[in-house]
Amino acid sequence: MSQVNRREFLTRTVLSGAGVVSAASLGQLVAPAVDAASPVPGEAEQGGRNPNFAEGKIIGINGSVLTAQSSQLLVQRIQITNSTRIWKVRDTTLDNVQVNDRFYARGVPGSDGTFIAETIWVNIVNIHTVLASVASDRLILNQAHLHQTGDQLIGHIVPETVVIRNLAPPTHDLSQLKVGSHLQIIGAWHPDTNEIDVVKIFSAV
Amino acid sequence: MAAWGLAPDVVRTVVGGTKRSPVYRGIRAQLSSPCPTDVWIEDRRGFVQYELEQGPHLAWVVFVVDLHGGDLVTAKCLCPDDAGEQITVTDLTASAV
Repeated sequence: MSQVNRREFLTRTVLSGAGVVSAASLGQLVAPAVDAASPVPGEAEQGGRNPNFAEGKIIGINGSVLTAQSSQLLVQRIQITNSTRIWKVRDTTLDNVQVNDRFYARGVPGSDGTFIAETIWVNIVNIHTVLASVASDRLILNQAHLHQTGDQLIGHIVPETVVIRNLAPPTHDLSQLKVGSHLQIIGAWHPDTNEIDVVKIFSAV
Repeated sequence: MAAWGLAPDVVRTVVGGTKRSPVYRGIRAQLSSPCPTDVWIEDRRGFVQYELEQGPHLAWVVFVVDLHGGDLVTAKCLCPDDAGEQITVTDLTASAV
């Protein structure tokens, strides 16, 4: 069956009767199969999606296949293999990946419409913050683009937390962090909360 | 500036027709947002897509509205299974008053 885009699929489906339809007819609702006309790996089609990149929210886990909804409202199946590198705060395994986690992945499109992940980063965030307070187990952070204190983030200190000051070697010593300083933080979000696990703190002071 | 590439009066007719319908009023509390995720026109009918708030479970509702009168033609709920292999389509107009 030829592939149809999301609107065409929805148009066709809602004007038909109720029942169950196969994802095989979804076309662009699932990842497109690779073909001879596909762009060179690593290059996105102009104005289109990069076939070597996937992102979204995990809505189901079936064995080693993640079912995900992307921000473009696509449903996509992500194949995890033995060689897939999985990051969630630290390098980990599929056992620690859960429904409702978000992810970014690099990989290649498979011939059956799945996306074969080479590396997947789960719940990763990269945020610019202003340090509001420091405790032994957490940082209270204001998002730098918000000029108010109502939307604070809680940054949990984890064993992996390191500070990198002025591109110096990473250190676990947080004592030099100053309230009010701007920090770039890489961490892992706790989905649907204002909490993250802090992994790397980049500080200029 | 028109949304979804449609003229403002077309968006008003289609989205307004959707929001006036008993089906919309019956499910609006379950929508993740009152703002549609997509609106498009096909064969003189307007299609309005919403996402349902069901925790991690994905579902959409698509309303079909007549472009002339703004009357609801049909509304369907689409729920993919966890494996992403099948989608259950439910006719919401069948149970609406």
